[in-house]
Amino acid sequence: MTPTAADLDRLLQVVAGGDRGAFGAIYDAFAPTVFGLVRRVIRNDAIAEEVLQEVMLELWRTAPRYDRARGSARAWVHTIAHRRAVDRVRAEEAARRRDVAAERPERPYDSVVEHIERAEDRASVTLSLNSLTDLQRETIELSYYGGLTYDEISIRLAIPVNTVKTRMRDGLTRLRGTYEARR
Amino acid sequence: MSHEQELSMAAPYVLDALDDLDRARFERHLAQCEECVEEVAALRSGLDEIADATALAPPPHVRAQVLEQIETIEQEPRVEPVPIERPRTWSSVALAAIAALVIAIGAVLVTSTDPLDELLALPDTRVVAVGVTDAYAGSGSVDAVVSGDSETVYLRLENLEAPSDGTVYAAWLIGDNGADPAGLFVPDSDGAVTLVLDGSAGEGVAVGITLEPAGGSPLPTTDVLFLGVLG
Repeated sequence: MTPTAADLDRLLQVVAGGDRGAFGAIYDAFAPTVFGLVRRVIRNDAIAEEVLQEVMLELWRTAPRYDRARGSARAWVHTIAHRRAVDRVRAEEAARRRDVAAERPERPYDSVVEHIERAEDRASVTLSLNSLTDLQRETIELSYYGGLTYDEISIRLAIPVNTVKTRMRDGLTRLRGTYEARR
Repeated sequence: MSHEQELSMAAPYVLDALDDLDRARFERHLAQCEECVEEVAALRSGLDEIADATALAPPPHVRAQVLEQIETIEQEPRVEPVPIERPRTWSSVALAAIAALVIAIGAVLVTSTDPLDELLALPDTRVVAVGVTDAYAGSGSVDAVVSGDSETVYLRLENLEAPSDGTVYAAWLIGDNGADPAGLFVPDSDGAVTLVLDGSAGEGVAVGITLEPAGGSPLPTTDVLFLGVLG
């Protein structure tokens, strides 16, 4: 039986009370989406697995701070997961740049930014992002999956920062419309 | 930054497309702005759709590892939700157009953000939001960026009022021996300035900001306007 959003909110509140047993259910409910999101951003199995664990431990530690009034359990979990994934990919990139600058041999996991395009990965994400214009999709992919800041995207695409931010906003708004229309 | 500019940061914030400093600054704004909180929540709901589409079965051994690890990990204490403060309205302060940044004694004003960006990219760098004291009535904010070894401290200040004629802002590093001068500075016409402090942030060391006569003072002579522990 798939837990509803309300079930998950309640479950998280139980975990917030210190219930370690209930955390198993939280893990089962969220590990697939968390791992999928993290793996998409980090594109390296070993590091993605590390970050999955870190996210789960952070969910456990900070559950008491979850405030239902501020948003759903899903939103809270995915926010934490995505932030950790992006912070990690940026740290790995910075380390790789330092290695290159110091002319040290690059670490084996510099495949962090290699493009592992699996057919099913492309298809599933394309379906979700289908409703976006090409420009909106590009901006969201570069930021949400690529870990770039809006400044970096502006430089890479040679477009003004305000254009980047507008595409992000319009893209997110459109995604929300699609989501609500489907429910 | 105008409120329209702040609001435009909501979408990059939701996508985690902000660097640590911008993120810290925007989160501080969120603590005071209900409109932006709502904007963030609305934009974030668009991402729920994507999460399902990218779900992937994790390696099976991770579950047991995580459940074993939480046996010995304490949760953080529950925090009472803080009501969103109404935005404070400030009397308008005319910022004097300052043509040139003053290169000050003991501090180096940073005109390019590259060294700071490099520091921010390091994993053990910490960003500390420096608190406002009761003596300060303006709308300025201060963030400190401290290197992992605590040897390098940048301050980034925004929305700072121009000091009146004959005065200058002074940064202090405050430790067991009292306050050591760490640099003098003047904001640009937007009220912003970034500088690297002359000194380091050891354990328990705090940074303080005061207004001093031009040329600085060996010790603070006026009330501390911003104060925060760096170590």
